[in-house]
Amino acid sequence: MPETALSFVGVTKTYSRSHLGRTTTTRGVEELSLELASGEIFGLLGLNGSGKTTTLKLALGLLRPSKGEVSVLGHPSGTAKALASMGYLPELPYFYPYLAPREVLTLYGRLSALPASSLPGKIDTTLEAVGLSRAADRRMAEFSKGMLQRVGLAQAILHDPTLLLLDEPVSGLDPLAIAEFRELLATLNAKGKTLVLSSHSISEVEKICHRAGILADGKLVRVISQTEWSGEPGRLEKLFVETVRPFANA
Amino acid sequence: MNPILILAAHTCREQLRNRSFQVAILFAGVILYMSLLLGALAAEQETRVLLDFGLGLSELLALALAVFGAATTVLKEIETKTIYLILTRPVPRFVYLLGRYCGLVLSTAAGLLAMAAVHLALLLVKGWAWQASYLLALTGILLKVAIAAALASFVALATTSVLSALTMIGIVWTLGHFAPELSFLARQSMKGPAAPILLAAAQLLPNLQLLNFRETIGTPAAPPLRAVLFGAAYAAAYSSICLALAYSWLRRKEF
Amino acid sequence: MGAAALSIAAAALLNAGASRAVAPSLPPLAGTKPQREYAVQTAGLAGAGMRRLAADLSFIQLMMYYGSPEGAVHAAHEEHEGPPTSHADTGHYRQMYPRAKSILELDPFFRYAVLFSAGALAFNLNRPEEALRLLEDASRGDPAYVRYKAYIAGIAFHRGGGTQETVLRTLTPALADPDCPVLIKHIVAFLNLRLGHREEAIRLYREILLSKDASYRGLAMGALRRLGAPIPEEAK
Repeated sequence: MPETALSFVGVTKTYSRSHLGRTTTTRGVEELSLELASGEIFGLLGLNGSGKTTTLKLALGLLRPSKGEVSVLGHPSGTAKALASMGYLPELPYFYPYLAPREVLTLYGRLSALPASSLPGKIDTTLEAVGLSRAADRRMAEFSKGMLQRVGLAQAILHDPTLLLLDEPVSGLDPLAIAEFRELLATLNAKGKTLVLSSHSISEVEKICHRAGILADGKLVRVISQTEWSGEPGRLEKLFVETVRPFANA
Repeated sequence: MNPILILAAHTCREQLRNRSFQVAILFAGVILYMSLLLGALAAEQETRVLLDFGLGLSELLALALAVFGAATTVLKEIETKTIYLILTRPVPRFVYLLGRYCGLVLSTAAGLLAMAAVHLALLLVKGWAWQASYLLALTGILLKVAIAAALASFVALATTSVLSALTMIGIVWTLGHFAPELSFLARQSMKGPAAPILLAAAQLLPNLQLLNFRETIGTPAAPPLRAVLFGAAYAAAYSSICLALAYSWLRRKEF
Repeated sequence: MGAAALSIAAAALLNAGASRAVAPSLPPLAGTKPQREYAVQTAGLAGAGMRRLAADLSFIQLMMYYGSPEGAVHAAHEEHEGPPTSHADTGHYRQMYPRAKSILELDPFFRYAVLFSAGALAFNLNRPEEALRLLEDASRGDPAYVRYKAYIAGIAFHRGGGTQETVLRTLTPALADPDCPVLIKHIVAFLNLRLGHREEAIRLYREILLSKDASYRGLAMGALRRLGAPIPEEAK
């Protein structure tokens, strides 16, 4: 397995929008350089619009860098090889409401080229891991936000990816679900998976991540190692506030 | 399993479970039944009128289902972001587009067959003598609708507007059936100011009249096998051009 | 931009190839004149690729016109179109020929409509010239249908003052045709009766009783009663 799971080298992403002949550009991320080691849990922190989701989408190939390079396990982002080893949980995931979790996982499992013979067993295991066994055959139109979040995590881990990108993973979950979620992520990490969490929940990042990067105005302004906050609850929040305040007031 | 087939099966199931799809088919059944009134007005020509009306209605409803599906499926998937969960798997974008398109055509074919079953039952009850060219008429309808769905996929993606796609298809559908007339008029008024527009329309728009096998059912003008095969190849090629255009847009699209 | 240019070129090539490889199955409508009253209906249906259905609806409307009281229709047309301009226009149901012609332009293979209109024009409205013009046009578009020739001959005899026997002999073979309008059957039955072929006339009137056209069923019923012939149970 390559040492580096995810790498950004001098990545800039600008969005251009044309309206009535006038083109406006917005900066998504600027000169982002970051390397994530295999087996690491990395937290992306930042205020709204700081570039967290843009960073994840660049890794997935949903966005293309205006400048610089993004690679996943040694492959350019967005390529089939890169995507085959990635799992993604979007923020507020939405699913086809007329399908049940088992049906949607069958669809995604097939699209991830999982063998047909092992797919049903794999789906059962995954549904159990995210606590959805009892609702496996219920239409998702009836699901709460938290249950949809569990389906989101299930589809992200179903194909046993090496790199997991999770956008606001605990959003909408109750405290018990958050604790279960945390346990599950720890288990996955123990199996060697690399996890990237984009989150507003600093306490979650503090509890689970090995490193955290703070984005402000599209720039990665600080990368903090766990050693800097461990042993002092609330320390990461203090560091975060201290880092982003000048940008928020600017 | 091939990802195109997986996506086609998914799209087909999505369409068949769609309430609007089911209501449209039910509606078609009711209208077909009510067409008996129109047939009665035609006295001796009852079965001919029932045949023409039923095939025409089935074609329009199949067109509506396919075009609306093509115009909304991908746009809705972009809007609800469910497309993220497909495109972040090793599924090339052209595979996604082709799978969705094939599913739409398949579900439309299923809808068309359901309508044809009701229609045929009515015709046979009314004493219509079965003609194999009925199947040819259905094939022509499906080929025309397949072209319209491919074009709708492209227009919807390029304009990100369902309304634009539906309007555009309405215009193309009409002009496409007037293809021989457009060529005729372009030749007649070759020097007039309208000539370049007519000529461009005749050369670029799909020639739907080529596939209008429904119009010559049971007549000496019914197309020979060579024309049917040519029509099928034409429909496949024209749809491929539209899908290639749609793909050229989707390939560049960022989410 | 490159993909768009390539696609346009491919579509143009494909259409050029198609127009060379396959001739249109129906003659273009360009240059034809649809009935003014039904222009929108006809254009709408033809635009949806439904020329046959447009022809069907026009035929239903033609039959309704032919079955409506002449005075009301005539007055409405006078108001709409001004006074008659030709000799033929002075007859009853003067819209019969233009309507039938417009149906033929929409569907050159709508044989029943042509035969019905030609029969009405020639034998009921006494305008055989219009009937012959319609049949000759129809025959040009559908040369394989030999019955048109028989009708042309029958009407030509009728116009030239030919004997009723000749007209009957020319028209009788057409009765075997599934496209033979009930109107022609009625004329043939009538001619048979005039020529003293009572049994053949009764047989034809009984056949007419099984047709779907209520007005001709009524006429046949009346004729059978006058002849004192029994009415079949299934027709009562």
